[in-house]
Amino acid sequence: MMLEAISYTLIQTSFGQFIYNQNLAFLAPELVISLTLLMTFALSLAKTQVDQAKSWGIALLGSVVALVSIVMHYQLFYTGQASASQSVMFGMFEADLLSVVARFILTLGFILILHLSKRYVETRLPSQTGEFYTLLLTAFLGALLLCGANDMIMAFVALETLGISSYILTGYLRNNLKSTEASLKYLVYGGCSSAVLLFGLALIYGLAGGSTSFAVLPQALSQASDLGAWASLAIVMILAGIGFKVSAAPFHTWTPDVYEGSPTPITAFLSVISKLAAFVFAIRLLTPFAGVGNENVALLIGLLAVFSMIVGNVAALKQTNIKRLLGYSTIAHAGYMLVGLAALTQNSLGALLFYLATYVFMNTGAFASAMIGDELLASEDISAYSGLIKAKPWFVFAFSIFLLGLAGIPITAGFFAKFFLFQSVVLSDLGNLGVIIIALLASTVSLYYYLNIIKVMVIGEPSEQVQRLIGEGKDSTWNLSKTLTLATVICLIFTLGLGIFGQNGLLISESAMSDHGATVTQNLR
Amino acid sequence: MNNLLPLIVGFPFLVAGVFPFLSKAEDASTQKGLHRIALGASLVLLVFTVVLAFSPEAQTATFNLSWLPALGINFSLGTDGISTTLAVLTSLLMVLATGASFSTIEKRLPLYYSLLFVLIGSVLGVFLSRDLFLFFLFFELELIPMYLLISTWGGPRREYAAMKFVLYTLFGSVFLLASIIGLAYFSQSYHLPTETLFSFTQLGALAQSGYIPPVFQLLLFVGFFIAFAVKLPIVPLHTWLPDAHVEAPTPISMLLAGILLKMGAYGLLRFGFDWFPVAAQALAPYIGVLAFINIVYTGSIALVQTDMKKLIAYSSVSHMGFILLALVAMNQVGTMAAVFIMVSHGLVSAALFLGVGTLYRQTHSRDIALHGGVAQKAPFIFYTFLLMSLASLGLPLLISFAGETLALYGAFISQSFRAIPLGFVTLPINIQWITGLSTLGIVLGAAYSLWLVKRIFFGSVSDACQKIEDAKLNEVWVLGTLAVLVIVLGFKPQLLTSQFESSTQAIGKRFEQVLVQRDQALLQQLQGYNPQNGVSQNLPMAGE
Repeated sequence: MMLEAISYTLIQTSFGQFIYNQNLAFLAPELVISLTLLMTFALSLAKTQVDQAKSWGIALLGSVVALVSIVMHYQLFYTGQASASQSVMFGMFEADLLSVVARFILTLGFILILHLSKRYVETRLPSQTGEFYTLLLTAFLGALLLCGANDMIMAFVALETLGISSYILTGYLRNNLKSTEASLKYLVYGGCSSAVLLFGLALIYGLAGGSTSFAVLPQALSQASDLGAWASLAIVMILAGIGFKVSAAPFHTWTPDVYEGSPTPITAFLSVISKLAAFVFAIRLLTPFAGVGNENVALLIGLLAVFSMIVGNVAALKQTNIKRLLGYSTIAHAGYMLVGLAALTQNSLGALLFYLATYVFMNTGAFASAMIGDELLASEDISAYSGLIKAKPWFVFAFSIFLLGLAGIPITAGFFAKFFLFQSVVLSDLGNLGVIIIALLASTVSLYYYLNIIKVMVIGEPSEQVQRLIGEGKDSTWNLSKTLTLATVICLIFTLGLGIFGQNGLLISESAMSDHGATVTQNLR
Repeated sequence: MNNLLPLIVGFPFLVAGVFPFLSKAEDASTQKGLHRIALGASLVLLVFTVVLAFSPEAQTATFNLSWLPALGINFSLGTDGISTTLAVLTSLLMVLATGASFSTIEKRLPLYYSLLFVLIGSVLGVFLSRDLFLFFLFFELELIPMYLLISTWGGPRREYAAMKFVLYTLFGSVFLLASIIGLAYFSQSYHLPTETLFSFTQLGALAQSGYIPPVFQLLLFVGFFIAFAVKLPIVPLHTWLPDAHVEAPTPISMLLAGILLKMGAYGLLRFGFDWFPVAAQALAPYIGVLAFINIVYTGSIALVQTDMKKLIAYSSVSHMGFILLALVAMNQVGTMAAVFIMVSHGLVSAALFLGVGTLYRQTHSRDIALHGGVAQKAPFIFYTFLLMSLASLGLPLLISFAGETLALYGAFISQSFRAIPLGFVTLPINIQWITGLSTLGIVLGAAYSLWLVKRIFFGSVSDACQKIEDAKLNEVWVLGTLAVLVIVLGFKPQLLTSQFESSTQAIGKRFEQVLVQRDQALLQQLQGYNPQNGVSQNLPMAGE
C-alpha cells in the first residue's frame, strides 16, 4: 500500500512523468542495481576495512529490492493488467514475461552468489571488498539488461558490461598466477568473440533494412525467401559469439582454465549468471528464425550441442581438480541446453528456461560445496575429499545431491528438468529422437565422473586432510561461513524440491515463452 | 485397502530416512540393535505386502494422486497378479537379505540399511507404479543405492564392478527413456487426454491398438527391449552381471539375483511384449535365438568357472534365458511360466548365493578348488545347498521344475515363429527346434550344479576348510525359510500360480490373438487376398 502511495507521488514530478512515459518503472530492478553499485563504489573509496565490509550488505539489500520489484512486476501479469508487457526506452528493452522470469531467476542466483562471496572476499581481498562488489554488481547489471535487450546496440552494450566486469573479476586474485592467466585468457577470447558477434550483428543490421531492433527481424527474415550466404554467415558469427558466452564447444577452450583460476564465487557467477543471460539473449535473437531457414539454424545449434556434450563429458572424465571438472560439466550442460534451443519451439524453450532455473541451483550448490570443501580441506583436488563422509556426513550428502542433480538422477530437479527438456524436444518433432539419444548417452557418461566424486567421498579411505578433521572432532576451531551454509541449504532445498513441486515453474517458463512467441508473431504481421 | 499401496512404496523410504540418525557406534550391541530394527522394519513391510496379496483387491487395487497434472504425470500405483506376486517376493527377499546381513555386514550399518531400504522402496515402486514416468523414476532411482552398496561393502574389485553395473543399466535406460518419450509423442499426436499422458492404461491401449505405424512399433519395442535386456540380462549385454554379483556382499547378491533381474523380466513382459505384441512376434525368431544363446552359452560358461559366485551368477543368466524363451512362446502357458520362473529363480538363487556366502565368510575365498569336504564340517549348509542345487537344475517336486517345464512346454506348443528370416536366406528353424535345443540347458544345469556340489562338499576336507563351522543361527533360519518355500511350492505350485494366473492369462490371450490374426492374414495372402492395411490395423483398441 505504502509503496503504491509513494510511487503515485513520484509520478507527479516531471522526472516521474519521464519515467512513466518511457515505462522506466519496468526497469526498476536495473535502476536499483545501478544505484546500489554507485553506493558500493562510493564505499570502495573508504579507507577502513570495516566500512568496506558494509558493501556486502548494501549489495544484498539492493538485489533483494530488485527481486521484490521483479515480483511486483510479475504480479501485474496475473492481475490482468494489459500494460504488463511493455517496451521500455523506445523499444530498446522488452519488459515482457520472459524478461521478468529470467531476471527473477537471475536475481535469485545473484543473491546466492553474494552469499558465496562474503567470506571469500573478507579473507582474501579485505582491502578491495568495495571494488569487488561494485564490479560484481556491474556484471550483474549487464546480465539483467541482456535478459530484456530487444535491440542490437542494447544487447551488445549489455553483453560488454557483463563481459568486461567479468574479465576483471576473474583476475581478482592478483598475486595468484592462475587467476591472472585466467583473466588474460578470458579477456583475449572474450574480445575476439565480441568482435565476431558484433560483425554478425552488423550483417543482420543490413539484412533487417537498417534497423537495430530485434522486433523487425521476423518481418525482414520472412521477406527474404531463403537465407542468403550473408545471412548464413551472420548466423554463424552470432552463434560463435553466443557459443563463447555459454561455453559451448568448439568455443569452450577458455572455460577450464578460467574456471580453475578465477575466484570460486566468480566461477559460479560465470557458470550460472553469465550463461543464463546469454541463453535468454540467444532465445530473443534466434526465435525470429524459427519460421524461416529454421533447418540451417537448428542444424548449426544442434551441431554445437552434440559437440559440447561429447567434448564436455569426455574431457571431464580425467579431471582431478574439482573446479576444472565442474568447468567441463558446464560445457556438457551447455550442450543439453542447446538441444532445447535448437528445437526453437515454445515448449522446448520453456523447458530450457526451466532447465536453466534448476541449473542455477544445482550448479551454484556444487560450487558452494567446492568452496566449503576448499575451506575444510584447503585443496581443490578431488583426492583430498577421500573419506570425507566420516568427518562431515551432511556436507557429503548435500554435495552428492548436487552432483546427482547435475547427472540427472531422480528425484533431484536435474532429472525432471532433463526429462522435460528432452520430452519437449521430441514432442515438437519425432525426428529429434536421434539427438536426444546422443544427449542421453552423453549424460550416461557424465554419471561416471559425478559418481566418482561421490565414491571418493563415501567409500575412499580418509585422506590426510580428512584424518586431521576427524582427529580434531568437535574441538575444531574451524567454523563454517554462515552465508555459505545458508546458500548451500537453499540450493539443496531447490535442487530437491524444484522437480517434485516444479510444475508451476515449468508452466511459468512456458507461458513466458508463449508471451514472447506471441510478440514475435505479432511483429511478423 | 487402497491405502496400502502408497504405504508399501513409502514405508521403505521412511525407514531409510530414519537410519542415518541412529547410532553410528560400531560395538557389537549397537550393531545387533540396528540389525534388529532393520529386520523388524522389513518384517512390517512383508506383512503389508502379504496383506495386500491376500486382500480381495489383490488384483485390482489402485492409488491415484495427481502430481504434475499439467505434464500428464500422476503418482499412480496399482496392482495386478504379477505386480502383487513380485511385490511379495521383493519384501520376502528383503527380510531374508536383512537376516543374511546379521553375519556379513559389520561396518557403517546406518548407511547400509538406509541405502538398502531406498533400494527396496524403488524396486517396489517399479513393480507397483502405473505411470510410465513414475516407473522410469523408480527404475533410475535404484541405481545409486545399488552402486554404493556394491562399492562400499563389496569384494576386492567392487568399485569397478559397481561402476560397470551403473553404466550398463544407464545405457539401457537411454533407450527406455527414448521409447517412453516416443510413446508420449504418439499419445500427443492422437490427441489422447494429456492429464494422463503417462498412464499405463492409456499408453498400453494406444500401443496395442496398432495406431502407431508398424516401423515405430518396432523401434519402440526395440527401445524397451534393449533397456530390459541389460537388466535381465541377455547376451551380449550380460557382462556386468558376473562382476556385480561376484563383488557384491552376500545379501546384496541375493537381492541382485532375486529381485533386480526380475525388474528386467517384468519390464519385458509388461512393456515390451504386452504392449507391442505385433512387433514382438515380428522379432520373435531373433529373440528366440537370443534366448537359446542365453540358456546354452552362459550355461556352458558356468560349467568352466573356478569361482563359486561366478558360477551361480552365470547360472542365473542361463535361467533368465528360460524366461525369455517363455516370453517368446507368446501364449498363456509361456506367460505364466515366465512369471513363475521369476519367483522360483528369485528364491533359489538367493539361497544359493547365501549358501556360498556362508562359506566365503569363513574361508575368504570363492575359489572352488580351495574348497572340499565341507559336507563333513557343515552338514546344514550342505543339505540346504544340495536341495537348492537340485531345485536349480529342475528336479521334479521342487519349485523350479514347474516353471521350467511350463516354459519348455509353452514354447513347444507355441506358434510364434516357423522360420528365421535372415534377409537373403530364411532358415527353416521354428520355435520347436529352438525349444528342443534349449533343453540342453537343463542338462548343462544339472552338470554345473551337481559338479559344484561335488567339488565343494565331497572328498577330503581341504586345508582352507579345516576350520569351517556350520551356518550361524541367522543363516539357518534364512536358508530354512527358503528351503521350506522351495519344497512347499514345488509340491503345490498352484499356491503360487493362483496369485497371478488371471493376469498372465489375459496377457497370453492377447498374444494368441495376435498370432492368430497374423496367421489369418498369411492365409489370406496365400489365397490371393492382399489386405492393404496389414495385420496391426485390424486390431480393436485393447483399452475399449
